[in-house]
Amino acid sequence: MKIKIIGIGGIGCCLLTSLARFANFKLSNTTITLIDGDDFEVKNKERQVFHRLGNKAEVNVEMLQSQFKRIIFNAIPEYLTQKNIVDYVLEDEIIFMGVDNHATRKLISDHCRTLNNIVLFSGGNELTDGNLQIFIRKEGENITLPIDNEFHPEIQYPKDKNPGELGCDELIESVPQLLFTNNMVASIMMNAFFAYLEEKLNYDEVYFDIITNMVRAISRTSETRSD
Amino acid sequence: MSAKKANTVKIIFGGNSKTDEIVGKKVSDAKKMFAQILNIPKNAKARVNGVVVKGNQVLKAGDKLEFIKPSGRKG
Repeated sequence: MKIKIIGIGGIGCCLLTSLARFANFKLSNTTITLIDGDDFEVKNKERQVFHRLGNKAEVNVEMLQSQFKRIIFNAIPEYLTQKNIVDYVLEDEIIFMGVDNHATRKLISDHCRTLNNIVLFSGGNELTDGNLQIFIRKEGENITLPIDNEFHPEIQYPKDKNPGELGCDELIESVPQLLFTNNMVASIMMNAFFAYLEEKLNYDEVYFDIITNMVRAISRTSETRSD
Repeated sequence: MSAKKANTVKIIFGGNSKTDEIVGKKVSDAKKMFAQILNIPKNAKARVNGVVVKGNQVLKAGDKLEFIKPSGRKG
């Protein structure tokens, strides 16, 4: 199984160890590729685990490879852009995306539409709530809605920018985040991945709120088809 | 369907929802009523039973009124 994790920030870091542990003991012939152009900074310690400063994908591959010998890990220390996405998001892959901007979500959703077989788990959060969207294409057909669907104009028409396409003098907006919320997104992503493997996945979006501890799974695809 | 259920509307925003007896009220009124409880922002778009509606739509028994929550941006 070929797994790619795009965005090794709060969600990605929460996802990595559990997903790698599961793959190491339960899946065969697994390759996990981490993609992120960002570097760890000391301020990331509040929510992310790392043993040294450096590129997030490369540092995590060092940590994971020593723990999980049955998996082949790769690091791509780049942001995904219009130019490189065709080289990095490929047919028959399982993609876990935990990026921090809708422009990249749109880029990846658009690219996934061009592939015949792909599974995309896209998570995002605010301070205390968030959601997961799942886009599945099988043999050239959309099994679920792309993540930039009619329910999500914020992804269809992103107002932010892809960090790989920002100018040198442009800064990414930094907003407070909570480890527990990142962890909830990661957990919901893994639940959905497991349901997919078991062929029991019957939803394509999950909302949650960690204050009320409520989770709601829905099928936007079914809602659209019943219109 | 129980008598209580027959007179209720389910109001949803993100992971949270509430069922209440607001049959006959407009969508815009429901938004105001539940804005604080469910944290619904003013610009949230409404759908009733999956269909996009305007604020003057009158709610019927058994309707599912969802104010669509945008995807989380951060990660």
